[in-house]
Amino acid sequence: MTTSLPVEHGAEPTGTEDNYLTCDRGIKSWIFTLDHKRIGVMYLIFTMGSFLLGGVFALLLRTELLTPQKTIMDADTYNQMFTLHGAVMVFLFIIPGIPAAMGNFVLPIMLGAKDMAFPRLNLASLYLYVLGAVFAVLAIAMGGVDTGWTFYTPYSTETNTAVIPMTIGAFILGFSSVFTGINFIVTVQKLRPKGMTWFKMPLMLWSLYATAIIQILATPVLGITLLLLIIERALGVGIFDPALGGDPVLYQHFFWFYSHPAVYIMILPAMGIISEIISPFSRKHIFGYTFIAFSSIAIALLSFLVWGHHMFTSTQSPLASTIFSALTFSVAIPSAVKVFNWLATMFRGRLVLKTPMLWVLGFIFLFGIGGLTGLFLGALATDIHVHDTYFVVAHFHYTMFGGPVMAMMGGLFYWWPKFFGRMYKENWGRLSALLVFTGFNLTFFPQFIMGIRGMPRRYFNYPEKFEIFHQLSTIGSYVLAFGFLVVFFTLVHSLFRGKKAPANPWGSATLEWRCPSPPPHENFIEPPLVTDPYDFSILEYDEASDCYHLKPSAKLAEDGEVA
Amino acid sequence: MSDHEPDHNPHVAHHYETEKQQFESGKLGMWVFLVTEILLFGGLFCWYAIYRANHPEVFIYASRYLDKVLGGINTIILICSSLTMAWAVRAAQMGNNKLVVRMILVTLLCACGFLGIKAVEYNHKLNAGLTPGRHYAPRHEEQAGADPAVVDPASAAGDANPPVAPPDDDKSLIAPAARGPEGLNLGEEKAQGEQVPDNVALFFSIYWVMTGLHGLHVLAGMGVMIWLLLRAKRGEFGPHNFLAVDCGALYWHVVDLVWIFLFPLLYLID
Amino acid sequence: MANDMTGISMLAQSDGRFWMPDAASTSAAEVDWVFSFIFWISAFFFALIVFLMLFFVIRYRWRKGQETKAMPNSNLTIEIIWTAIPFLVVATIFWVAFRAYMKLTVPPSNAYEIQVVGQKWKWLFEYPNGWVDDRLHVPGDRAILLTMRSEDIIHSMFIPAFRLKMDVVPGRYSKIWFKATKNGTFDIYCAEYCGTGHSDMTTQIVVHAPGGYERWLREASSLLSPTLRIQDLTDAAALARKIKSGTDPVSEFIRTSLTDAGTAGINAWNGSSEPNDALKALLISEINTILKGASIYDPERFASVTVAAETAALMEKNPEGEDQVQLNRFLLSDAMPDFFTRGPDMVEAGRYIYERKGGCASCHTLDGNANVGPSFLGIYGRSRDLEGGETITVDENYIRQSIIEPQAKVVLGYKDRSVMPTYKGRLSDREIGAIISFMKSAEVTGNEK
Repeated sequence: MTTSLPVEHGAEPTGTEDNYLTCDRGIKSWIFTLDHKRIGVMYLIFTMGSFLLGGVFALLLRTELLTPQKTIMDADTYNQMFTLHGAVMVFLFIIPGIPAAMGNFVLPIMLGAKDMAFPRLNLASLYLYVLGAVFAVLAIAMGGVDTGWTFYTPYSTETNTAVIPMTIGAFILGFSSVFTGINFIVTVQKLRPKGMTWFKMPLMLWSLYATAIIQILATPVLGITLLLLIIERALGVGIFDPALGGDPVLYQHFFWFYSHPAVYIMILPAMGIISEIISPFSRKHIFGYTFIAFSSIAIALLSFLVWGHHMFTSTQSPLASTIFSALTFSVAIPSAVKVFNWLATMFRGRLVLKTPMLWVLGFIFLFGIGGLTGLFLGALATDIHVHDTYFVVAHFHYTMFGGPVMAMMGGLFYWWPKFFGRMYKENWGRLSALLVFTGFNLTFFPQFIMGIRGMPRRYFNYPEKFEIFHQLSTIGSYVLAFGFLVVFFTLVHSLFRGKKAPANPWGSATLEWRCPSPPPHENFIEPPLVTDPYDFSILEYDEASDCYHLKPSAKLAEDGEVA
Repeated sequence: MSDHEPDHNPHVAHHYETEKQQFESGKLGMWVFLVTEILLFGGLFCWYAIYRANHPEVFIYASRYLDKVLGGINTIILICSSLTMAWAVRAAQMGNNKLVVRMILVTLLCACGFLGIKAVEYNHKLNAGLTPGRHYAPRHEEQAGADPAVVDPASAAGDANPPVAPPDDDKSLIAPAARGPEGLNLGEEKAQGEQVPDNVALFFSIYWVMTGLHGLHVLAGMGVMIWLLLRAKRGEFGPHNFLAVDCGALYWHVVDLVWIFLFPLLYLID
Repeated sequence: MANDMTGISMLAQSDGRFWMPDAASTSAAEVDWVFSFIFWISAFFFALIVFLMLFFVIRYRWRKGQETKAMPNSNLTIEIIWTAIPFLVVATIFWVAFRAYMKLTVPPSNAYEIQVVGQKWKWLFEYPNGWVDDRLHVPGDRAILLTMRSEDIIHSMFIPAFRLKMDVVPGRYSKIWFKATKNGTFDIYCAEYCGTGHSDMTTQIVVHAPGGYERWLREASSLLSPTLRIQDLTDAAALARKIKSGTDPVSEFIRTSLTDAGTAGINAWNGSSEPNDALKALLISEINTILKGASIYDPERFASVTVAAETAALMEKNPEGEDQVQLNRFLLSDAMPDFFTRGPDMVEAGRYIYERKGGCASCHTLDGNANVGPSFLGIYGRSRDLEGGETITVDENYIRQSIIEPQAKVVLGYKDRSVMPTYKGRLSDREIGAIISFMKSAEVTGNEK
């Protein structure tokens, strides 16, 4: 590629041009769109719909657990509720939530590219997602599934419920995830514009790249595992049937070989969002950029070596358990490094406590608890006791909700002006963050106590000594649901009544804030000027438009440099 | 040359800057996709490795039911098809669309041949009741000289090469199945000195699933080739536009490669 | 911890501990120590992170017009330090937990072994003498090794008070061991999700004081035995007197069959005082030896005895084994009707098997409500439609077949939920007989009133 002389770097948006939402109209323009932003928005709608569905299941099962015996449903219905809650939340909401919905939207823009490397593959990934969701809904319509979201054999091969449609759904969703991963890897590697070196990439892109590595390497194994489960169930080939020489525990190895890395598919992009928000809202350069970037890659690679820690009590050999325990602790280190670097970023910054930052603070608090309680689960002796109790339920909600969902909400409130060009009511946003944070802790902290005291998970009837904790938890879940209602109304209200958003309302230095809000069809009218993504000294605040602009001197410097 | 001129190279999609960038992206994407394919089969190979380690005697015994000759011919066919596919890529690079058509046709024929032979093998297995898992119900009536795939290996091997009972430490550590497949008439077999291991069905589960999934990939590959064939007929390929043929060929080589592992692991055990 | 705060103390456990439940085994103490170790480390780091976060939020809050001063964006020394600290911390935690894990994984060689069977949705415990119970009874003064297997799918044995958990997997054996440190009753849960009745798959472990376990096992396992037990004696003095000086042929027969120790014991007794425990035990042992011997029936010997219809019916069957012992007991009871009972109460024994050993109660109710299987209430003698169109009368044969081959004749409407495993080889004929007696009893047939 020869050197080019861009005419004008970082042209200021005038706000009058067509954006990606208005450039093309009609339902067809959405169904057949190849624009990564529209695909991202559709993913956002579908994942949020799934979140609602999974949330309704959660509220129903929490209500059932108000009393130690039957409250509103029978045991079989309850078993289906927690299975569907888990399956919908994991496969339809959290895994595609941040990478496919938000990543699709922001990755090319942050990179300075016009689109994903393979727009058709991207659309195919969305179609597969919808198809997978259809199968999941079909499974629910056919009487539900009662295996737990892990589909453990041999229970899943002999129960009478609709396991096959559900696993086919999960299988298809896996391929949707693989396609997204391929796109992310190729886009980041090959579509970087001039000046966008690896170490000028925003940390969100490092996270998404690390996520894509996991999606590529782990998801096919889930695919083949579910395929074997389907074959076993349909044809009785005896893969997991001890009566035919098979081994049911092998399924668990296969499943966790995917599903442990999969929790990092959920958490890594969340960590990326935290890095993206914490720096501009501290008005300070991110601390330890390279360490945060490489810790993402380290987590991605180490995540493949720890699956056996789900199986300390599965009759796996004590030697294997010991090795897996040791490897598990190694994942704690890069996570801790990230948290310390975020705190160091806040140190002597100028903290702007707007809504996205509140979600980030909530994230650090909740993920702190989630991460530290992971130590009890990675440690051999204590895991034996708390494995498969409410302690585990609480732990993974603190990591999987306190992590990805808090970050996703933070990201949603952070990028909302960019997505839809509207500002929401700041105080409503803050209130929703507070409500969700409070409700969440009330829901899940009592579960730690129950779990340590021996309350097994997936129990329909439970001993009366746990009743008070279950009741606290159920009340908490109602508060949590109310918090999300406030989130919903805040955001939807902004679409109709919100102030028009400027290109860069927060003063962030990453590239997506250089293009207008919402961005035009191909993102950048002119290739953007690539700068340090966390150097805010190049920006200046313009009170008249309530917007941050690139200082003219920065443009001149870059032009001079190129010349 | 300026990268963002509106008059783009017609072969380059709007969001790419250069032909080279598009080509490299396509190639990288294909390679990453092939990694996922390898991992998909990796799960099956893992399954194979674990059960072969757990039940070596099952694999030694049951692999004799597979026809090495047919398997070998199929291996050669697939290797040849990889050659013709690579040839097609070269022809596309040189813009010789006619040669592309011919080479892809040969490859397609090879694929058909492979599936045809596979169908013959599958048919033998079905007739002999060598079906997976709980459907496993071998029949020995058709003995003597009929079909190598159906013949009881104990008699097929003859005196020259009597089947060796596996040494004790080779045996499975798992207790015999509570309910095993019916139909082998174990008592009689044992009386004749031939030791039929438990859980023979396991081998056929692995055989059917692994070759079946591979067969599906062959079918998918044939679909890709037909698509390439139609494009080549329209004379679409040339030095600046052969990415599709290149990627199709990469996929076909991986399908070939998987078979090259499957053949010795399933057919050439004993 | 923290139980001085009134709000929280309400949530504390009865022994005042807030987190871990009652600790009742040697490994529990180890695990609790590891738990506290990790707990305080976590609490420290969590407090540090939250403190710093809140402190920064307050101290460095953005105010109009202020901008950040230039600061270094990274510092290798600091990064190395805060990589090394977590490394050392987690390495220590790993090591501490590993040490405790080895202790609770490796059983001592002299452990007392009990077999455990997990099945939907019931735990069964097989004791060394063959007795099966649905509660785990253990001696408190020995290390116990549980060898566990599953009849159907994966379950998991979870004893919170012992900090123990291990999956029970079909097709393989899994083992755990423990040594209790407290006597009493503790909960056992199934921790691996196993379907409809997963949360009902709970039972208790009873840790006995020294000697208590042996006594329990002896009594429990003699429930069905036709031999004589202490509590079966209704008039020990009369019995002893009869043996010592009775003149009827049966008494003479017993007297002549006594062992030397028995003769000596009877002779040493004064013939009028209430027999002491040692003598009662001796009598029982002697009579049991006779009961277990060949048939005591002899037409001459029993010429003056009224043989009950039940006895005659059993005699016609030429019984063997335990039934032969039962026949002897009947005969002896006919000869000495008021001195001891006629044998075990088969209805009570049947109820015990229904509730405990067989675990029937987890799927078959007695109140007429269908559960996983049909209710037993009033089922005996009733005719039922089967899957496949046949109709059958529920009689002894059908009950027996349903226990041995549960899937052979399934009652209409139960095909989908039919998960019953076979009890062939797990229940003796006598035990099946007891279940049948139980199902024929007034309580279960519903003809009570």
